Amino acid sequence: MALTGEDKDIIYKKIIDIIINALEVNDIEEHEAERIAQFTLDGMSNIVSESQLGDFYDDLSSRWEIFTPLLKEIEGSRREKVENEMSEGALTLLEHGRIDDALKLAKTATNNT
Amino acid sequence: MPEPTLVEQPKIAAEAMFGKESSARRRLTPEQRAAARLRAEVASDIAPQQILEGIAPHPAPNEGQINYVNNENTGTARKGSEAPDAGEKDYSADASAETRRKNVDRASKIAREILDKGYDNLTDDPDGFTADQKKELLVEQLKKVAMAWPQSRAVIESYGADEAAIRAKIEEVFLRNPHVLKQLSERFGQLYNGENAILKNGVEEAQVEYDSTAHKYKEKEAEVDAADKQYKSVDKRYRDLQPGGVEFSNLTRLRTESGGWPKRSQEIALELSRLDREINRQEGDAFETKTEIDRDEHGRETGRRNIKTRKSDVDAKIARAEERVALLRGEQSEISNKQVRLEALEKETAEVETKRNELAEKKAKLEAELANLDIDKSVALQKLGVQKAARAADEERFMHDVEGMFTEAGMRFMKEEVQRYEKAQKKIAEIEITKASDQDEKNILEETRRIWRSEVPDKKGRTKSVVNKNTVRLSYDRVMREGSPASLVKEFMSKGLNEIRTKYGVNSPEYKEEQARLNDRFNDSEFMNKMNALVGERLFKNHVESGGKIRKEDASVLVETDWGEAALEAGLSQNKKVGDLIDKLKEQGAFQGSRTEFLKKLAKDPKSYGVLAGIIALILGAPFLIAGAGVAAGGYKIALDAV
Repeated sequence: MALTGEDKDIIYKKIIDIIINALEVNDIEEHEAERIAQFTLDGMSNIVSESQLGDFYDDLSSRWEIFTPLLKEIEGSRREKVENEMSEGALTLLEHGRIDDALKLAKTATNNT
Repeated sequence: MPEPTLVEQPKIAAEAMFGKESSARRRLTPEQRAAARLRAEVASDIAPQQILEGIAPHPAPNEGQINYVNNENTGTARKGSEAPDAGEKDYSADASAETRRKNVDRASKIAREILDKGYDNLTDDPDGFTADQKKELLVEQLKKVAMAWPQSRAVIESYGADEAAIRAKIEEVFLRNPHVLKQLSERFGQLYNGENAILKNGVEEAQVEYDSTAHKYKEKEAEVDAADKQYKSVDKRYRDLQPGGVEFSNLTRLRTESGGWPKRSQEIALELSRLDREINRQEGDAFETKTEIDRDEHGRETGRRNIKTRKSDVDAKIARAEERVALLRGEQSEISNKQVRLEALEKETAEVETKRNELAEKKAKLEAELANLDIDKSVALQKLGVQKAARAADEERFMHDVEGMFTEAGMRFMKEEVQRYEKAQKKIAEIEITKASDQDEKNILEETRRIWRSEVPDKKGRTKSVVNKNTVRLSYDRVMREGSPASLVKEFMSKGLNEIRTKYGVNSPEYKEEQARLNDRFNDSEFMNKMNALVGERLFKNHVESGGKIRKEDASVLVETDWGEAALEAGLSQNKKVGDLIDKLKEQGAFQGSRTEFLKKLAKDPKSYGVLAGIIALILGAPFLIAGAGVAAGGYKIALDAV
């Protein structure tokens, strides 16, 4: 799914909130905040899809642990999406009486998550 | 806890407004201050991307860059190759450049220090410039900024002569404010990191050009001198050979004499020929006579004697002739010498004249070349002068820019705040008018907006609302003179009545009906008090925003009238920060009763006027200079939330 300007604003806002909270409790120093901001601006300028955003979050949280919640959030969202798709697929298979295939798909979904 | 005396109350109030808050801020870490700034920016609805761009590395230059730029941008003379520090700047001959260097060094180091350590951690410099001196300098600069904006000037002026309070305010609002420091960093970066950070230096090039031209001139001058010397020597000889010259009389004489030389030479030649012949003849005679003498050796004595006498005569004749010959030959030789001399002089005259002309021509040519080089040298000198003046002006500007970084940062901060406020004022007015359920209230709000403010486009083409200083001043003086905004309120409400009169006439039922309706409202004291407060509050706000002062008598009118009290209450409801501070004072036992009771108490004591005026300015003024960073930025947001 393509990211809109509004989506990006929401992402920026989340990152800013994390920076503010980290600064307030002295988890990061000011110069780190500067680096994070620069890294975010550089990284986000090239991101157009949700999958790229996942990669970006991955990169961001590997550099600064404070962003791990963001990564978990997007991973959770991805998982939910996969599960939904799997469930829908399984339901379709069930509707058509393909019980074995539906079970296989459900198992795949479980393994994936 | 005993209630503070009236004398103590202003001090407590001032501390609450400015002092204690400042101490609390000082305890924050730089990270926490940055967090506070970011929260304020988020609260101000600044675009998230823009906030991130603000967090991204500040553009302030590092120490190496500062030294490099300061070195390049002050002075142009460098030490020669023989100096131990060859190539370094040489300020020995340019005191003004040295002064500029010292000034930019000092200002740039303070800027770097305040960005690195914060205002409260400035330290003494090894050169004796103390932290207190630095702070004094910074406070003075930023005070100028505060005084340059009417909105903040009103607050500063309300402190009167309380320099400590003013200083505390300036420090809090500007020098400990991360927003201002960010502006400082950006300005610092612009001056030191930009493409044009290094000033153009045309002086060195112009100096090389001038030195080269001056060298050529000197060489040519030596050539001219040599040619002149040569010419003068030849000219002297030429003048000797010309009429009046020492050699000319000789020449003239020889020329004159030379006319007789051919004839005389001929005469001499003839006479010599004749004498030659005569001598030959006399020698022949002498031979014969000698023969005769030899023949007559034994002759008679007398005869011999006669012959001898004759021979003596002949010998004498020969001797005379030979003497004459010698004389003539001498004359002949003299003529010949004179001829040679004359020819030599004639030749020399011609040659000297030719030589003299040649040398005169050569000298003139060299002098013309020298004159051209002199022009070149003057032009090069002029160019050098222009370059030096341009460079000095550039350096002066650079120095003022560097010294003025703090002022510029403060001005940019204030400009942003004022623009944000003015944009918000438009929104606030629209919301207020929309939200007003009463048509008369709507009319009043519209009139206050129409008369006291103008909508103008900002640089981005959006509309902002700016105050009309003159109309606000007129209205303010009128309300203070009358002690109430009631007549203004009636005037604003009567706008519709005037329209009906124009349309239907004063005797029309429509006019009479509207007149009766308005009279009822004018007599409704509850409504009028509410509207007086509304108009009074708007008027004070605009008055402070336009730079108007709150005089002692104005403060008294405000705290002693119902409408004034209501206006203050309304102002406090929109200005939570000040309201909270007054509440804190109440908790500390500074006063009892409502918030406005505290203000009434202050009004009773002449010593507390400064604080009272300051607080009124903060309550009813624009949200400028309200203690601390972020508040000003979020001020309009608070106001927007309140409407």
